This record gives sequence, C-alpha cells and structure tokens, in this order.
Amino acid sequence: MYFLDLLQIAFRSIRQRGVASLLTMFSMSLGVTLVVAVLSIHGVVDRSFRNNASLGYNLIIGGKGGGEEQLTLSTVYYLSRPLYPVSGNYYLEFMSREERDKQMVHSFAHRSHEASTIVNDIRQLTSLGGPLELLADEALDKVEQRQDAQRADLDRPGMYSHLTEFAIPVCLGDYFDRFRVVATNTELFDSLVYDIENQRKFEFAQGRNFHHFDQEHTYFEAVLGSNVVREIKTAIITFDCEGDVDLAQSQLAGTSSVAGVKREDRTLIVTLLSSLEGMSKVPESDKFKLTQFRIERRPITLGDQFSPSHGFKGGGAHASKFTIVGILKSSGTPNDRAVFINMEGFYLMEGHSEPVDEAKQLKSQAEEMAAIDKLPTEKRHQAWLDYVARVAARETGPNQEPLAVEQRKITALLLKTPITATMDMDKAVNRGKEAQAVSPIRVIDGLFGVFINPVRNTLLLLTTMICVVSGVSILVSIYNSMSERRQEIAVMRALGAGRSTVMTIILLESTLLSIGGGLFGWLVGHVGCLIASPLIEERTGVSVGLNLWGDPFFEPLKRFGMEGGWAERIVIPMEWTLVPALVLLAIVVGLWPGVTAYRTDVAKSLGK
Amino acid sequence: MLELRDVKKSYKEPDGGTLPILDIPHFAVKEGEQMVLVGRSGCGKTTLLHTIAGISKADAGKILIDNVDIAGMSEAGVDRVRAKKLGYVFQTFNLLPGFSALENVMLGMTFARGRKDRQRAEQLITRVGLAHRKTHKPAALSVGEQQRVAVARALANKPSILLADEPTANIDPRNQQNIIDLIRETCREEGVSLVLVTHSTEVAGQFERVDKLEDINKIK
Repeated sequence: MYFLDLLQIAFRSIRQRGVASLLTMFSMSLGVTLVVAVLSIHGVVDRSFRNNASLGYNLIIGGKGGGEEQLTLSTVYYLSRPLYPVSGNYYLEFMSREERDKQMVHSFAHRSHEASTIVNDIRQLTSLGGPLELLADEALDKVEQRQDAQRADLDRPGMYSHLTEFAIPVCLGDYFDRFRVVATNTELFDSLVYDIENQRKFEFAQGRNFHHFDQEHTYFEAVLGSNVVREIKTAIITFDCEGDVDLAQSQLAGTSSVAGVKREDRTLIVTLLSSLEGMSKVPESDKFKLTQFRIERRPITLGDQFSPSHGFKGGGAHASKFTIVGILKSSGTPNDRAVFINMEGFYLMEGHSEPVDEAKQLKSQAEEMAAIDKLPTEKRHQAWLDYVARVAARETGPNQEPLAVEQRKITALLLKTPITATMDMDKAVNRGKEAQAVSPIRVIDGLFGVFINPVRNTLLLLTTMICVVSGVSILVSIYNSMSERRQEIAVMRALGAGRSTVMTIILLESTLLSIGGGLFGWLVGHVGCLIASPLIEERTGVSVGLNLWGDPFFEPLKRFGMEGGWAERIVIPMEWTLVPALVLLAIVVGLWPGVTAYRTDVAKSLGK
Repeated sequence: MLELRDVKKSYKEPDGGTLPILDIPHFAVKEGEQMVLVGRSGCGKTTLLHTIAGISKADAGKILIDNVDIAGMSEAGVDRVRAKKLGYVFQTFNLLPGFSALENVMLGMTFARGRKDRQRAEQLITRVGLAHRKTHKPAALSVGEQQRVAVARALANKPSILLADEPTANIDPRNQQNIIDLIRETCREEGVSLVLVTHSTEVAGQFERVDKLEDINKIK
C-alpha cells in the first residue's frame, strides 16, 4: 500500500508538470518505437525467411549460372532474377522408374514406336519422288536420330531417385501485372507442407488447385495468392462507338492483361485484369468516336482469365489465357504475392518452347501436300497459299499437346530428401556439370549472418542511443523541476517522509516517465508496423502484421552461460527485455535528481 | 508532552566559525497545554520549532516527546516520530499543489505508514469547514481556506504536539482570529499540546501561557 501511495505521489507530480512530462515521455516513446520497429520487423523477417526457407523441402536444385543466394532468393522469395534453367531430362533423374516412365509419355523416346509406323506411312505418301520426298527424308532423318538417342534412356530410375522423397518443379520468368508467375505441378498445393511446425499445407480461400488436365480449361488453369487478389481488380468496360469498332476495341484492350472480350451488337464488353493504371484515359482516334464509355470495377474472382506477360514486368503478353480456378488463403509467405499456373500450360505458351511432335506433324503435312499435288494446275496455286496460311496459324495458335520432356526447361526443383541423404545429394548434384544443389536454410542463415544481423545490430545500437538520449531528457526534465520542488520535498520531509522516501518518489517519477513513454512507443511501434505492413510486404514479400508478443525470442539463461533444462525451456520475446531496460535506464537517470532530493536541507528549503 | 533539557543549537558560519542560536536549559509543555512563544525577529523561534520537530538536529541536550528522546535517535527514527507524534502548521501553508484539499490531509497519513484513514480525513476537513471544497486543489482555495487545510493535515495523525509557526502571518485580519480559534479548538478537542509562535500581541493575549524565547534561551 505504502508503495502505491508513493507511486500516486509520483504520478501526481508528473501530472502537475503536464506539458513537460508529456514531451519527455514522447521523446522516450520515439526511441522505444524505433527499437520495437527494428525488433519487430527483423523478427518477422527472420521467422518468415526461415519458415519459407524450409517449405517442406530441404534442397533447391537449379542451374549453375549464378550464385546460391540468387537461386534461393529467386526460388523461395521470388525476389531476384531466376538462374539459367536445367533441362527437363535432368528433372527426371530425381524420379523413380514408374514416375519417370509416366513423364516420358510425352517424350520423343516414348513416341518413337508410334513414329516408326508413321514414318513408313509418310514414305509411302511421298514415294512419288521429287523435292517433296527429299524434304520428307531430311525431316524424318532428324526425327529418327533423336528417337534413337532417347530410346536407350527409357525404363530406368532417375539417378538421384533413391535419395529423393519428392521433387517439385518450378518454372519462372513470366509476370501477371507486377506479380511473379510460378509454373509448377499440382504437388505444390496438394502435398507440400509449408508450416512444418504445425503441419499446415497451403489452403484455398476459394476454388481449388489447378488440375493437371481439365476438360474445360485443358492445361490453362491458375491459382492466385491472397495479395494478388487483394490488389488486382477487374474492370468491365462497356462502350459504344462509331467508326472502326475493332480499332476502338484493341485500343481499349491495349493492355497486357486482356482477359476476355464480348461483342454484343455495337457494344463491346471488355474484361481487363490489370491494375487499371492508364485506363482512366479514354482512347481517341480519327478512325472511331466513342459515344458511350463506362468502367465498372470489381475484385478479380474465380472464372476470370488473364494472360501472363513475358520475361519482365510489363513485357509483351502471351496469347494464351489462363482461367483462375483457385484463390489461396493468406499464409504470410511470399506465395501470397505469386500467381501459380499449370506447368504444362506454361510450356504450351508461345515463346517458351514450341511443342514438337514432328512425326505426326510431318505426316499431316505430307498428306496435305500430296492432296494438293493431285489438284488441277489452276487450283494448285491457291491451294498452296491456303496451305501456308494453315501452317502459320497452327504454329502460332494454342497447342493442346504437352511439350516433349526433352524440350522442357525447369528453373528450379524443390527437393525433399531423407535428412541423412541431404549431404550426399548435395555433393552428388554439385559434382555434376548441369546443376547446383543449395540448402535454403544454410543460405538464409548465411545471408542473415553476413548482412541482416549486422544491420539489425547497428539499427538497435542507434535506437538504443536514442533511448539513452530520451533518458537524459527525463533527467533534465526532473532535474530542472527540482529547484521549484525543493520546498515540496521539504514539506514532505516535515510531514514525516524520510530521505529514502523522497528519493524513491523521484525514482518512481523517472520510472513512470520512462515506462509510460516506453508503453506508448511500444504501441506506436506495433501499430506503425501494422500500417507499414502492406508496404513491407510489397517490397519484401514478408507480412509483418500486428506482431504484439511475437518474434524475436531469446533464451535469457543461455546468455548467462547455462545449458540444457531450464535454459532451454525459458524462452521470452526480446521485447520483454525493454521493461527491465527502461526501468534500469529510469533508475540511472533518476539517480541524480533523486540524490538531490535525498540531500535536500529541509530547514533551509521549508522557509517559514 | 514535550520537554527540552539543555538543548543547544548553533549554525556554521561561512568563515568556519559557529553561531550559537539556542541554549535552552529547560522547556516543557504539558499534555493538552496550549502556549505561545514570542520573541524578536531572528531570536531563534523557528529554529526552536525545527529542532523540536527533528528537522534540525540539536547539537546537544535531550528533546523528549512523550518521554522519548528524539535527539539521540537516528534520522529515520526521528522521521517516524515526526510523522506520528508531531503536527506542523507553517506560515506559508505549504500545501502540495498537485493534490486536493482532502488528499493533502491524507498525505500526512501516508508518511506515518499507518492505515490511510479516509474517514478521519473527511471528518477533519469537515471540522475545519471545508467539506464542500475537499476536492479542490490549493490554487482554487483562498489563503484562509489553505491554512484550514494545513491545520487539518497537521492533526491527521492524531499527534501529541502541534507546532504552529506564525500561522496567521499571511492571513487577512478578518480571518486571523478564525484560524487561531480553529487551531485552539481542534487541539482542545483532540487533546493535543500546542506550541504557537506569533508576533501578534493580540493573539498572544488570548493564551494563559506566553513564553518569551529570550527568557528561556541563554543566547541573547
């Protein structure tokens, strides 16, 4: 009770000097805000990096064209440029015999048997002789050579399959608006555990995972991360125009993210999936005049379509359209800001790699050419022109046949090995010429040790200095008040308060200012982090949120050299150390005015 | 009761010498007795009150409060005796500005480390006629009202002795008599001995016992 009474006296004294006290507390709160922000952001970044670095896999396999940091950052965090990819065949080296053979369905080798009969058919069709036969011979030789080379590589397990629990392929390079497009297979969401501690998989807020093959959308299905959905809107543009409607339509839809166009009489409904930047400007031209123009916005949703842009943000759009079939729940990982598409669809997009089923293609072409050859001379010219146009259309149009394994490239493989085999796998892959194996946890630890921890420590040192300066301001504030409070102190002494009592009151006052300012700073720090969270997330892919009692944690007993038992069990948030630190600071800075109060000469200060 | 035996007090001068102020062979106030101490300015009246209260330490002698010698006590012991056995009313009231009238009364109880008796504090504030102003801060009270609060505060711990150092010096003539009456009545009601220092002959004239400091102090 006595202590509470003294606390009340200290509080009243602070209130008595309202503005000065508030300013002093504010200065302390600024310091603590910065400490909290540094700790909080660093803690969340640390946790998020480490969590993501062990998204259920322990190795990343990628090309050798860059450093392991680049491979980790680009694969796990989608931050850096992807490395040069590894071949599709290399990917198969991580599969069992059964899986490998299944993948090889779309390989040249698998098709060789079928091709051999087709080759015979083509030879019969082109047996008329002349340049057509020479053309066919040349092309078929190429096919046969490749088939021979691949044939010997069938019916065996991948060379690393005995060390592999699973291998998930990832292809990077495209963007949807400003978000990375990640081409992968269904395993990423079906099997992968992203939160190892709680055994959580990625969950869907809406819809479902993309199918390997869907009757309606074939290979062109997509899943969006939660941030993508939050940030990208759909615009439905309705307009009517006079003049060149097609030109008006193309100018209105002149964005990389045209999703769909409906034409109803002379009214066009264009659905765009983009950030809508620039769409507020209505296109103008001599060739058309818009008589009606309206934009309705709504959040992007299931069923909407989009075309990834190629290579870099704002790059040219692919013609292929992916249909959104799923939206992920927020997981606080970089996957929140990524767009996932079916890898098979990715390969089928123009510009990535053209699917070549040369045997079938050649047979078809040979049949057509043979038919044209039999036509009367006067029709033959037009028939050849039509034929060339058809071939061109086929080459640029969407292809529904999966790309041959031999033509595939894979940016990275997310690999899970038995723990005991990780080192062996690491060494085995790195000995080879094609790829490198990287342990993401080791890389992230390295990055933290070399870059992030020293930065954090420097920031903490600076912010601690700010707190110390704030502490000095408390000292100055209380000390300045001492001359006017000398009489107050003397009165308290005259009423029976001992020297230690008045000193305690001063120390409590200093502690209240320090803790009060600290508490306010703590709140401001966390709320500030919450407010800045979207910006941080946008820049780094790490969701900070309201991390009130969160990271970073530390084991205080271990700091005193204790090991095991309680030293392991007692784990506290680092922020908690702010409380004793602020109290200690308050006592140190309150000591000087406290001693002044202690030494107050009552008789002299009391007056009459 | 209060008794001083051979109490001596001097101050150190800037040149290192000593300036004797008090040399009192004997001075006593009986239980419940009310007396006035008069003397010329600078003769040591306030120093005597400070010495009795333990605010200034006597160089020699005994100061017995309820037969307990505080002169030989540690400073902390003297602080406790001052909190429990003595009440002090100052000329300048010395109320703490951050506290209400009632809280100022209770402040004395805080330092006595006993139970904070809010009911007694309320009774006292009512007794001095300020029940309606108990929540007011000192700045909102008149000087007369402030001195009333000071009287209530001095009596809060049921002291044995009340020391009043020119309690009416800063109060307008109309209120002076009211304050003196209040101090005397409350001391009588509480059975508290009263040592009141004053320059006012009118005030002194109302007391049966009037001591002139020059008469009891060997230092002239």
